[in-house]
Amino acid sequence: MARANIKRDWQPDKTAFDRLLAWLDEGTESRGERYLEIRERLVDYFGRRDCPFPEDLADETLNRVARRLEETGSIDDVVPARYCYIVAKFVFLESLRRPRQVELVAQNAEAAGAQVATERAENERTFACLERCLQSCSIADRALILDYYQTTSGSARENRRQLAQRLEVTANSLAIRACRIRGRLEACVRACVAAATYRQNSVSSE
Amino acid sequence: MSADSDEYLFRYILRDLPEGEAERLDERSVTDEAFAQRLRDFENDLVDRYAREDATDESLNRFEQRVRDSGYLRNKVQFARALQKVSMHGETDGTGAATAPVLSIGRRRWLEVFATAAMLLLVATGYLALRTVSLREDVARLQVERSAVERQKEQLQRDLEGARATPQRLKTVTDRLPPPRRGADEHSLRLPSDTTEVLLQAVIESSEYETFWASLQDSTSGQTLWRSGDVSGTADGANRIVQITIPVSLLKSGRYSLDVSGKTGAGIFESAGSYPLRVMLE
Repeated sequence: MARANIKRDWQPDKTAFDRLLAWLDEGTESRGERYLEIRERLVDYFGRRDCPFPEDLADETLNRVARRLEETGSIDDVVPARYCYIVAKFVFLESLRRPRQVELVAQNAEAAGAQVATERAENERTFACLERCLQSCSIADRALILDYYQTTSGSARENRRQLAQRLEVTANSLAIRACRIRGRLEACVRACVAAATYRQNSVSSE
Repeated sequence: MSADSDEYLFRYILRDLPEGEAERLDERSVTDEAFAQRLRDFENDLVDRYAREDATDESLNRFEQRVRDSGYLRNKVQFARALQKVSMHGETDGTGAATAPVLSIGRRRWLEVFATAAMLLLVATGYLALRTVSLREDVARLQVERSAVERQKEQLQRDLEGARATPQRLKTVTDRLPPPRRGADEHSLRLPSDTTEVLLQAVIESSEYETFWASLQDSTSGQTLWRSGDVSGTADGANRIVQITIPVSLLKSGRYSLDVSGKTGAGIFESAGSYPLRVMLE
């Protein structure tokens, strides 16, 4: 039992984390890009499966992969993305047996008639966080993502075609780039909103 | 209906597909880079249309119900609304980041330094996130403890402890499948009872393929039991080795055929080998 606790509480040190990054890169040097991409796919996987804390489960998955790498030195019999998916499936199944904390908290909030106010507060928090996260983007990325979405539905296609021309890239390349920037912004906003919610709950409970 | 069609992806997002098909797309959404990108694009487009509230078609009505049930999609819709608001704000008042000039590729090189720094910061954030998982879980747990459903929580907590006491573990059996030969015996695969998955290393006598698909058929009924996503092959002299992992839960003792297709340089999939198997569950 003591051994099980040690394994469960294991956290990667810098060496273990670097080993994870190198393993995910499969011999290339992505400077962490590959790690972020796999993590984002895992967050989406858990989110689409209606898990209340998809980011935590994605981190838990990568934590277990890093621990396995630490124990065995390498994982060569399956490609990294596939192995991450196998581990994620187990993390998902285990999560189904845990208490649904968020749902219970949400039920309490609804019981207090606070749902509308909560949604409005969440919208405001999301907006404030997006502005903050945009400031942390490079100038080029910020300009691109805002230009990309600065359209009405009718003019979107034409506007994006002109933007691709200006940037000297194809429409497809522009769409992929915008999608990646958006993915990073969404991750930044999620973290920012979670931190703001935690701060507010801490103040409320005092 | 094609597995990559809009309607199919839409049903997947609505969780309206049979569980087996949904799981297959779940897997591809993590293991197949091109599919993950396609799905994300499609999902973002759907969320944007819904957030703009400028479309009234029936599909968005179905999507609205799904948004109500999914915290993940609600967050995405909130994000899309915020992004539209910020974008339109930049367009109307002429101030702020939205009106900053978009630089051409050639003039943007110096900005890569900033982009690299931002990337390192994101990776560092990921590292910290890994270390704070348990802390965030504790915070959520404390919130629940203050709620009026204490008894229910205690029961669920006991379930959790039970789950932790009996963790599920992967046990993999690995076997190499030699190239199929006319008249050769089928390959025997003996699986101990605690095996959870089987890793088959199919040897392909050709190096012209980079990407492969595999499917497993029950030789008796002819039914396809399982399909892989895109699989890479590794070079082994003039051959390629394709590694395929199959859940043992799909198998029973009997005869199967593992069919492997390879993608040619022209982007066409063709048969790369068919491996007859005889599975014996112990």
